[in-house]
Amino acid sequence: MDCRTAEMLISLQPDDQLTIEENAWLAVHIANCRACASEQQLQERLSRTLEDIGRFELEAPAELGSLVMNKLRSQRRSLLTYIPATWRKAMAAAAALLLIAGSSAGITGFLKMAGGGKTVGLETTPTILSDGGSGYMAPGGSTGQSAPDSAALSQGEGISGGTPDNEPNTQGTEGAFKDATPTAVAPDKSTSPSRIAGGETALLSSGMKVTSTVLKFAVNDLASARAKAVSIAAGFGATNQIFPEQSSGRQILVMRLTIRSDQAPGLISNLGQVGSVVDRQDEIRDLTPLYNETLVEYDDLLARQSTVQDPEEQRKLEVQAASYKQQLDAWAEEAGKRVIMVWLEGE
Amino acid sequence: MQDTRTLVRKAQSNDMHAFEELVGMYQNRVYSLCHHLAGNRDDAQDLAQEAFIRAYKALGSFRNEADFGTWLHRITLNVWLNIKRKNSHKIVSLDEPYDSGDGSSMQREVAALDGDPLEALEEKEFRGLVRSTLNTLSEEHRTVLVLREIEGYSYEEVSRMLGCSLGTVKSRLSRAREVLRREMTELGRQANRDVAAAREGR
Repeated sequence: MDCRTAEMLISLQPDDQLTIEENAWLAVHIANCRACASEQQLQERLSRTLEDIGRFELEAPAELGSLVMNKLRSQRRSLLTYIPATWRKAMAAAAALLLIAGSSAGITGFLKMAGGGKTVGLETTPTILSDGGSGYMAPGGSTGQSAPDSAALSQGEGISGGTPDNEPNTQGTEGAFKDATPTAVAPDKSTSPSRIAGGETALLSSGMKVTSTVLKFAVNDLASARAKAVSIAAGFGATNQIFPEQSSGRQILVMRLTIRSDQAPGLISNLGQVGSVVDRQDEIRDLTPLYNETLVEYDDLLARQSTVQDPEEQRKLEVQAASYKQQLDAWAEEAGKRVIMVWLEGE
Repeated sequence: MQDTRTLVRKAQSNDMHAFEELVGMYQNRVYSLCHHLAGNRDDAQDLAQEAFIRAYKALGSFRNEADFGTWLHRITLNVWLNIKRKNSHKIVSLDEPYDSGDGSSMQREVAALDGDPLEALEEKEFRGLVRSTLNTLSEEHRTVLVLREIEGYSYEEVSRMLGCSLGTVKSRLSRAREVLRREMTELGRQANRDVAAAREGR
């Protein structure tokens, strides 16, 4: 054996992985080889140092916990915003609301797919609509209107340029997948949330309405339905978030898809391949008051930040403001796009 | 304060306050691992944040008989490895025998004959150099060293966390130690050369 062998043995020595014979051989070799003796000393010192490093826990930044919780709560708010009131009630009845709201966004790896239950698909399509320049809507204004059927939506006041989707329903799901909701109208630059020079968000000068279409699917095999829906969504370039199935007697999976408005009708039509439609609901929600209210609170936080002296308090405000900004950015990001939520329930 | 099991059970039932308490209890432990892996505060904070969020979403899969801290570490490690994989265009396995191509054994002997360049370093300097050198190692080598040497996990635990065999852990750790020693020696020699050059320049 030579120095190379000794080097390998030195690397295994810290874990007591050497046999008696190997230890003996190494001791003899080291007694006659300065290089290997030096190498062994270095290894011993390294092992001691690494162990010392691990002996003391580093102190996490004070804001870490707040950042984590704010992000989780922000995701929860983000989901709830787009679930129509009637569905929120239905979800609560299924004891699923909290689980879904607090669960994963875009994390498909953690899903536990069980085949037994019932699956419902829920799809929500926000559409940004011009309301004719009604000006800044103060917090507490219109909170949105329910549009239980697509016909109502297509005639909705303030909807301009909306056209029904005339794409054929290739899966024979009839009206359920025929997107009769108005095509999203790109928000007017002057009325949509905008960024001002300093990166701050300007107040809306007009309404920000979201048209939602809710589709319930009943499927036999939740896993394959999910896979199919994911595949279809991917084919249309939709952003996909999947929320783990719930198990309050039923197996439920909720998917939240965000897609360009002009792509939405085709996607909705193709989603008919996933399963049979149990229900469909459409809703228009006006996010303007919510957006502006959040924006006012955000601006207030920024203002307080500049006056607070206590570093700890300042850090808390920063974290809180970051959470608000994240939410505002998420809404602004979705302006002009459609958010589709697919609710699958196993039978 | 409630015990971990109770808090985990509550968090699994979507009690956000319970999860918040768990974050408070384990944030230093998770952050420490993140710092050892990422090598700097900013990345460590981002990594820890993402790890806790993933953990919350995966709470349903946690069985309460396991150690929650180890489970968090495992998730942290997965997040870290995923990030590294996404950021690297080519993954090269470092389990193969190291071939420096320059007769590393001979180089080591020559270096040793020049005197141990690290011998004169104070503990604090040496520790700083170890941290710096760890950051220069490959993801595979750094990860196995952090888990085994710094965090003190057994071969079996490391094997489970990395999803590889005991033999792989053993050989990877052996190679990682060799590379660490080599890099440390090289950095020490470089530092000595810099000092000598600075003296000559006076």
